[in-house]
Order: sequence, then structure tokens, then C-alpha cells
Amino acid sequence: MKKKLLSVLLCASMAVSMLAGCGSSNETDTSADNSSSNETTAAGTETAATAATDNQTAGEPVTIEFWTIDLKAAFGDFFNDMIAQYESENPGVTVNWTDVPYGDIQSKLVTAVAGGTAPDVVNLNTQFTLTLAGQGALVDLNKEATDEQKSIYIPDLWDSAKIGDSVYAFPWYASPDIMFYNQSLFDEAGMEVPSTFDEALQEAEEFYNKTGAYLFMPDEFFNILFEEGIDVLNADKTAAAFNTQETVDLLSKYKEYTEKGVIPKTKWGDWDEMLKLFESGKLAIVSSSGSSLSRIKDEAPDIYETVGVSTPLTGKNGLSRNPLMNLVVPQASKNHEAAIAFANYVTNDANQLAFCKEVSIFPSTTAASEDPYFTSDTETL
Amino acid sequence: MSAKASLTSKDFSLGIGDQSNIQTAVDKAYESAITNGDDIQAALDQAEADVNAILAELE
Repeated sequence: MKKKLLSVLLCASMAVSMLAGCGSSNETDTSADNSSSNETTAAGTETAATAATDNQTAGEPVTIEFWTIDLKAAFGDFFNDMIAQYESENPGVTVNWTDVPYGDIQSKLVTAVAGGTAPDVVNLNTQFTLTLAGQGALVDLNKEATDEQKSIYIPDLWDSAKIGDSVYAFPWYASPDIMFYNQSLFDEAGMEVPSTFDEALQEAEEFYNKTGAYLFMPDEFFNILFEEGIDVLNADKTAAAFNTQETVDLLSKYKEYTEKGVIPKTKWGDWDEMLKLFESGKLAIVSSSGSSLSRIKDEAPDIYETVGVSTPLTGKNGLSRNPLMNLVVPQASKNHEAAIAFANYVTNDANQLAFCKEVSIFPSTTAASEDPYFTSDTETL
Repeated sequence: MSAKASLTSKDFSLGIGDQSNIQTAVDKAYESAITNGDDIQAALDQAEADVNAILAELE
């Protein structure tokens, strides 16, 4: 079962890499740099955004400009078929599909909106979605989508692009963290794989003393706060809320173990560093998107043979990281209603399930997640 | 493959437009307290001040 699962995960990991590459903290950092550089330019789009009107009236042909990120090369046939099906079911609607390289999407979108040629439906990560939403450049789907359209998504993922009462994206495909562990190290230690950060901390010293390897590497501190259910901001998001005794105690606990040398002291959450340690047998657990597995196989085939998979370590809130790709509708779109309908179609249960069968990626809708395709294969994940 | 992970996971979002800078400010508390060995409360106080300054600029 483990090898079958690894094979499936490896296929998924390659697809995820092509699709999003959004699982690592390094890539998140890159995205942050990009979003910062685009903020000033994006602010200049508000005139175009507020000038937009809905041109769609009954019986008139509508053309939807649909932008995705790095999908056409690998999945051109899949999306062309899906678009053809949509056009056949919606006479008068034409979808023009443009696929944009990951590194170009933000600058191209800002330029298009500023130039009055905004696409109608765009594939974005959550950080850039929120950046544009904060500048009034995106449609509030909580207001303009129907209850039926909004009802299909996993609630926590639906909330990812939420600011106040407004929601600015339909969540699309996700690459949640998965735990990869070195079974040989656990056999050597005679210990079980932990399921929570608390368990991992309690076992870290014994594990290190028995194997000479770190049991786990802590996540980025920002993510640790989320995982432990510690609010980063207050309820109205006007002030920091994390500076509490609970956080002091949490950091103190981690500091105790780093000073003992039984968990790493530096580069917490650094994806590249984690994999280097894991591939050299010096780290027993990595929590990352599936894209890590193909690298482990290439760079450390002996370690790959020992890899087991499980759900990632969790903190008090029981949640792990799940970086998302989304579909958004720019305010500057002249076809809000048609754009929302098409974005909802692309991300509906049937199409997400079909996409997942094509590329083994994770869906963001409740029904697709509960489909036997996912639930019958293994109980591990 | 199971999608159970999608039901027990979240895209960690603050629901504001400048999350990346806030994330950087919060992570500096770890660097100060753990990597550099500084006082934990002082590190958190500095991170709190940095985050509040970012939020003030957003308003």
C-alpha cells in the first residue's frame, strides 16, 4: 500500500509542481516580493475598475477572457474540452483562454486592468488576491455570486480570500501539506510517528539521542501561531494580538529544545533546508506539499525507499497549511455575471473532480473532497 | 489518494491586504529569540510594535 501511495503521490507532486509551485515557504517569500512591487501600480487601476459595467444583457453574445497560470502545456486538451462543453451549454457565450507563466501573472494582470483590457476570470494565489482586493480591484463574490454558487466550497477554504464580510475568490485547487517520514529512523529509535507538535516536542530529545537525527523542524513562526490557534491580529484587524503569555510560553518551550540541540535552531520552515536534512538522514519528518517527493526521489533514492506518508503534525487548532490557487473576477470585467458563472463552473464539484482525476490534485469543494475517488484509496491521508 | 487533508487544512490568511509584511515582522520575533538568543518578551514586544506600525499605515 505504501509504495502504491508513493507512486500516486509522485504523479501528484509533478502535477502540483507544474500547476502552482505554491507549497514552500521560499516560494511564498517570492510571491510576497512580487505583490509588494505591484501594489503601487495596482492602485492606479481603480478608475478602470469603478468604470466597469455589466455589458451582458439577455440574448447578447458575451466573450469571457479567462487567464490561468501554467496549465496549457500539460492540460490543454482538458481545458479546451471543458470550455467547449461550457460554450455548448451556454449559447452566446465564448471563452477565450490565455495561459500565463507563473512569474508573469501579477504584472500582466496589473497592466491589463490599468489599460482597460482586464480579463474576466483570473487564476491567482491568495496573497495577490487579497492585495488586489484591498485596492478595490476585485468583485466581492459574497455580494455578487448566488447562494447556490457560494455553497459548494469547503468553508475554511472559502474564507481564505475574505476581508471583513467580503470574499474575493472562488477557491480552486489546493496543495495541502503532507507528512513524509523516514521509517528507518523511527525503527532505529523504536518510536512511533507523532501526530501533534506537542508530541513531537516531548519526543524530540529521546529521538535525537537514539538516532542522532532531528525528529522534526518547526514551521515558520507565523504559521506556528496559526497552528496553535493563537490570533495574530485582534478581531477587527487593527492591532497585533499575538504578544501574550501563551506565546511567551510557546517560544520558551521551543527555545528550551533548540538550546539542547535536539531541534534545529535556524531556518524554521525553510523548505530547501528541510529537504536537505531529510535527504541526508538528519531529519525524520518533513511536512510539505507533494512536490517534495519527486525531489527526494531524484536526490536521495535510498531515503526515498524508506519514506512513509501521513497527515502533517498539527497544533491546538488541528489545522495544517493548504496553499490555494483561486479564481477571481476583476471589477474591471464588463461581464460580472457571466464571469462569475464561468468561474463557478470551472471550480464546481464535477469539474474539480475531473481535474483531480487528470492530475491528482486536491479539490476545494466539499462534495468533490468526499467523492469515493479520494476516500476509498487509502486511510493514510 | 485521500482528500482528507483538504478538510483539515487552511490557507493561512489574515484577511488583510498586507499579510506578507506582517508575516515578516512576526517571524523576526523567532529570529531574535531563538536564532539570536535574545529575550523572548523583548522580541515579541518589538514584533508587536512592527505589526501595529504596518496596520496603522493600512488605515
